[in-house]
Amino acid sequence: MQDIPITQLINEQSLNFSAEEQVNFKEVYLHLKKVARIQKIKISNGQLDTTELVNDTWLKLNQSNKNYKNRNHFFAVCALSMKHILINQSKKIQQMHHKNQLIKGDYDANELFGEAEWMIELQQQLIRLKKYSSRLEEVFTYKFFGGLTNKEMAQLFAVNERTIERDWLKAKSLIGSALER
Amino acid sequence: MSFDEWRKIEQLIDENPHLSSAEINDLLKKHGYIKHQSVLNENVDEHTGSLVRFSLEESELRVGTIVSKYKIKQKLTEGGQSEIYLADRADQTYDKTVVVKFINQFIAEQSARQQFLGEMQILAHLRHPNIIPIVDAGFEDNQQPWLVLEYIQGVHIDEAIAEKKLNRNQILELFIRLSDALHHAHERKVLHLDIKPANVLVERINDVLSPVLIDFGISQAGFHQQMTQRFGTQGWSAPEVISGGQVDHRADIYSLGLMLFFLLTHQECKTSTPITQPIKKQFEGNNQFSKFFGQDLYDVIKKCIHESPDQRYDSMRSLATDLSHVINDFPISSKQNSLAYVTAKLIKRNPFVFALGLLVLLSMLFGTLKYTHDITEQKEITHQSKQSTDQLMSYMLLDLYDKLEEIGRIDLLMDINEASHKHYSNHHDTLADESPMLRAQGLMHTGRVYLELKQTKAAKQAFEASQRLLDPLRSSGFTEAAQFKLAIQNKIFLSRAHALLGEPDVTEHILYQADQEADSFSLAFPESSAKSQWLVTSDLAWFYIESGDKTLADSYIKRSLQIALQNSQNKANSVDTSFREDWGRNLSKVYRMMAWYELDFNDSVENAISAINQALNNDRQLLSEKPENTYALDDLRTTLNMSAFFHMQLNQYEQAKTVLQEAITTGELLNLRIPTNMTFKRALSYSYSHLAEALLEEDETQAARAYIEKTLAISKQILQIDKNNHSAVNDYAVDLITASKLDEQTGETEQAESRWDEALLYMEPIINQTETSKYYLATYAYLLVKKQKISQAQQIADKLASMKYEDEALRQLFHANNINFK
Repeated sequence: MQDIPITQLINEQSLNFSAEEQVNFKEVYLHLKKVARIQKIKISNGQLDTTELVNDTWLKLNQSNKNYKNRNHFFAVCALSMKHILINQSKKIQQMHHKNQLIKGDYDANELFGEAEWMIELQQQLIRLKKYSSRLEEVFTYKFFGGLTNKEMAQLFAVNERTIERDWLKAKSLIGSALER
Repeated sequence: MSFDEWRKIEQLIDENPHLSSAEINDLLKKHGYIKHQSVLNENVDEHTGSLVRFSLEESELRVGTIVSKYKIKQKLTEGGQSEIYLADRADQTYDKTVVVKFINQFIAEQSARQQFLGEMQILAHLRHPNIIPIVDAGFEDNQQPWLVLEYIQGVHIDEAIAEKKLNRNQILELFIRLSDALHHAHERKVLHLDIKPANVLVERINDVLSPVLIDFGISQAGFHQQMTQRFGTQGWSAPEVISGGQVDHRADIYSLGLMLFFLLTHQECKTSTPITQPIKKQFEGNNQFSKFFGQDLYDVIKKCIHESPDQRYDSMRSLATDLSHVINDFPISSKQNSLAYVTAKLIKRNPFVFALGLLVLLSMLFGTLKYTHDITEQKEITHQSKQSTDQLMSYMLLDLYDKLEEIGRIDLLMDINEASHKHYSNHHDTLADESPMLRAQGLMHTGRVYLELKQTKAAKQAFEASQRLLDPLRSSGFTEAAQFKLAIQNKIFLSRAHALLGEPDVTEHILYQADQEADSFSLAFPESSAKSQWLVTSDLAWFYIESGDKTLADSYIKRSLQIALQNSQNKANSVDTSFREDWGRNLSKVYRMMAWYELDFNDSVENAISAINQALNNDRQLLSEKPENTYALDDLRTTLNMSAFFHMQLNQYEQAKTVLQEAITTGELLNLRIPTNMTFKRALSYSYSHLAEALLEEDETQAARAYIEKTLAISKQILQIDKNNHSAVNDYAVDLITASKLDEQTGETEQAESRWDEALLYMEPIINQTETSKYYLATYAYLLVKKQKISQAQQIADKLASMKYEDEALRQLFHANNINFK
């Protein structure tokens, strides 16, 4: 894992990850979930903060895992992992909705279904954005799904922070406008 | 929204580099690209909070719910295919912890649901200690299937191996269990199809590690294709599983082989470690494997993971057998030599060596003696184990030695031995305390089969393995007579193996240990120890006879005689006839031993003959009590052959002839009774050739020829059955030479020539092998001289001289043909 450039790693096409990447995603996912459980106990309002989640997960994983070059690298993997999970779960929710299956737990089924629809739409727009500009898509994904700061991304892409700031503004605007249509 | 529009938005942002995010939003709104303020926030959870929570927490939803009779307690793991929970029985009948597995699939169709339940029923019937039992199965309201499994408290096999730092053989032991479990499943048409470290747990039962297969696939009948595919895992599955081809049990053999390689070479591995290269490729590219784990194991794995199922092992059982052979350093199936019969691999003397090579004949008779002597003990062991708890095994052991007794088929013996072995090693948990004893016994039997096959090193290893199993029992003190008996017997066999390997010091040392153990035995169980004491004593006596220590030989013979006499007298009135018979036969053995002692140390053939006569009387007495007894007949024949030999030493050809006539009558009867027994055949052939010699001495050429033809016929028959047996080849060649000598005497030179040619044809291949016996070389040299191939004969003569071969007749033959023999 260490030797694979991050840009190569995230050069994914509609979530076709290799077995090796799947292993990493799964690991990150399980850690994310573990941390989410702890957070849920800490924060009683039921709302999760992904940035904090990823931070905590990093702290936990960092002690035992050598698969990541540095914190930024890990956050990038985390973001991809989170995106992967959310899209998968959205598909599952859509499927359940179509089959009129009950979703257990204290969820508002309509709300959940709405969010899932939105996520699938977002995914489609991200695929387009990647074709348009893979750099913008990456910036968007890292920030939106993984909570990476501009500074962190600047380090990751070896550009100045200002550039990332503009990239984020562009990506957000492009996706935002596309989602409104 | 088109890329063109996106480009325009981008342009707007670029043209206004100093605007804030909010200002850009306003600008875009003004241009009609967006309708609302702030479309997107910075984080996904601000947009899809419920989805994020659902995705990260969904698995926990089941905790507290009830499935069938079980209340979900805690999540264990989850993969893409399923979620696994720990659950407790909730109907308040009794406490039971189980594992509930939800399969991430929704099955709506009624027929498919029935099929699923049918498959689960088959799995529930798979009762095996190394397969996780299925307790229950069904469907959730949402059509999601679940199954309830026994809770196994263990870790994954890769973790167990890393934690316990298991060595190669310990890993192989686990795999033998796994193959056995899979064999059990395959016999019931159930395939696993997803063998990988994550699907094997290792639990600890009574300090023994026991692997358990979890996550069983689906029966051969197939649930439906989708289900079968679901169970496969890329990287572990056989090519035909991946490609969706015809799949059978050999797909499991593939995966098991791959997993074995993986676990041997990745001892430090954790389940989550990424696999950077397909394991199959790792194996193919690994040129260190055979160096570290042995060529045999490399071959075993290679056979498992062959691309073509036809080239793999045909069953899990044959794989398990080879794995146990690797552990014991026995030859694996692909290399198994084709020795099919019990034929004492003895060397027949050359007829032209008229002063009989004593050693040769001694080894021949000694071999026969040992053989008959073994039979009794084997019967006894069989008898003992019949009383053991495991009736099936006892039956097999009984069968095992009945086979040896009746048809002399070593190949069958080996099969049964292997089966019994695996039985012992597989049922450690059900057999509890008895298992080390049974396993030790099984290993000892295996060793004996290898002794018969003259695979002495393998035999030695089996006896040593048996001893290792007994050591813990010994250190805590033997509490049963059977334990003493087995331990002593095993030591005796081990000493014999060392003797055959030419290690007299070790032999003596082990016999000494056995002697001490026999003393302890007689202190603890004075009533049952006589036989063990006698066995050790007589083996010690043989050992000192062979190593030329007169004093010690004398002392042990006397002690051995004393024990045998005492017991045969004590038991003379015993109702138990088998016991009386046994001691009667033991007494004969002592007399025969005394005869060799007289000849070796006192150079007194007369004394030898008188000892032999005692043996003969004893044999006849036993036979008169039970005229149909095969052993008694065989004993008598052995003694008669010996008697004839001693008479011929004294040139008493008339007596020899009489004795041999009786030996032949007895031998022919035995041969008629058990025509498949090669040992009997061979002994009969010796009687024939002895008689032919005695007749030749008295110039009864015609009669001699008749017996030579008979012995020739038997040798040829044995050779045809056992083509790869070198000693059978040599025997036949020697008999051809005997016949040719007669041909020469009667002037039938053409006939003689053709016999030499035939003999040479048979001998050449065995001479070219690396370690050839000097007796074979002598036979070969004789033939070369006869065919006037002098320079070749000279080479063999040099070789024989370097091996210190002594033979006056051959020396004269060489001399007459100007061949140097120093």
